[in-house]
Amino acid sequence: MEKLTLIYLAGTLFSFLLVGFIIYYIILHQKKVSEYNLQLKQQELNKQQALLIALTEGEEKERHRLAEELHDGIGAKLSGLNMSLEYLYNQNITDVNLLKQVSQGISETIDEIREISQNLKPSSLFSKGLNKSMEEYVQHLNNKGLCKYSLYIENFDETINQELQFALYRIISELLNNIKKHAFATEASVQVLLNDESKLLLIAEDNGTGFENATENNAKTGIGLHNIKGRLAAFNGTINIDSSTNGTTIIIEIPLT
Amino acid sequence: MDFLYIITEVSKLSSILLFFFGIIYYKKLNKPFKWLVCFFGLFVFFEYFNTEFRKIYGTNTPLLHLFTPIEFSIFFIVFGQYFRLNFFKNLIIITAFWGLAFLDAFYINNLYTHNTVARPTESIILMIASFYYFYLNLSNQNNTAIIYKEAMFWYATGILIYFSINFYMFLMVSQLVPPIALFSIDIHSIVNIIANLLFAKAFTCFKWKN
Repeated sequence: MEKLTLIYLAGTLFSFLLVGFIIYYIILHQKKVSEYNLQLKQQELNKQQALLIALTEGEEKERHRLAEELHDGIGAKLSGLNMSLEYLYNQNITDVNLLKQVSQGISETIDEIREISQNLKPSSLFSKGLNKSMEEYVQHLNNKGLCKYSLYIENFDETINQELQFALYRIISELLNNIKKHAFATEASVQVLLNDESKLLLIAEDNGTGFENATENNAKTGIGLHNIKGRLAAFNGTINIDSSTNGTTIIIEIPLT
Repeated sequence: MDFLYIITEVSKLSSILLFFFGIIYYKKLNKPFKWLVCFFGLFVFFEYFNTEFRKIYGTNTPLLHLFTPIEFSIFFIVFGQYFRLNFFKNLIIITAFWGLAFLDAFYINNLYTHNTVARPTESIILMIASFYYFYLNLSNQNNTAIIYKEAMFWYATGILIYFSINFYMFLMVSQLVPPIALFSIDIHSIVNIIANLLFAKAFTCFKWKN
């Protein structure tokens, strides 16, 4: 009978301790899991906030650049033209050469305004699609004759959504703009390819002078790259820059899933 | 007044308080927990009827033979609902247990001895259900909910504590003699109070859901 008592007491005590331990472990474990998951959610939230800030910053810098272009480019040109016209008016003379210069200046300014307008609202993107719009843009650049641009875009207008097409348009424009203004290149090419239909690959190459600290936010090129990075972050894209005095190669990857 | 008497009375009182607690929260509870409240009402009745029954017949075991399958059915339905067992699976398990309880009452043991097969079997099944509940919650890494804010956590904990600690008593109750038999009743009463408190805590969790 004593053996039975002992079995009962030992069994009950064992059950009591076991249950106590199990419950304690469960509470502790669950607390840890909850804290970990909350931490993950917080990290995700922080990432989204950072992305939002990056996009807002990008937009602000874009506005700033636009203001600079209007002030330094168009504003300065119109002031010069105004001064020339005032000179002609005050002197009461008809200088054909000067009038020709004024007319040429007005044409250039109109071109510049058209370019800024096209950059701000690429309406052709919605009506003609990404391929056609970019081809027109590149043709427009080639017409200026400073650098020979080539473009190859795989036909995937229907495969990718409009947000991504719009972002691609902006990114390619930004890259071409950087080449035009800062690279002093004679040849440049942009290729947009679909990699296994799961990844979009954008390769931009030029034979220009390259730029130092390409990843830093230095001067206008840096601002442009910062904008590109902001846009890429929204699509979980990555950018790889290889720049030297012989030219620059930029590889951008954007996952499609 | 000895300790056994006091603790048994407190245990009975905790059952009444649990039932009233259930009544207070009744509107907020889901269906299985509403059945649980009804069962606790029946439990209070059994607790007091037990005493009278024992005075008349000298033992309360016939009532225990009836009480065990009822208790199992209700406790199991709560788990069944949580695990999304369909009606037939619930029915098969509960019917099988009623069959076992019947065999225990009339063939394995008899109405005037303790149900030393049905009660330990009930304990094992409900302990497995509790462990399975904890396993499901612990294995789900995406679960951000804090487990102790869920009614089922307190319910499963109450079940686990009550049935695991009393398991040896249920198994050996016919063979235990005083003083250890009285001690086992003390332990049963204490564990019953703890389980009732945990079930009451389970009811309070429903206020977060509304």
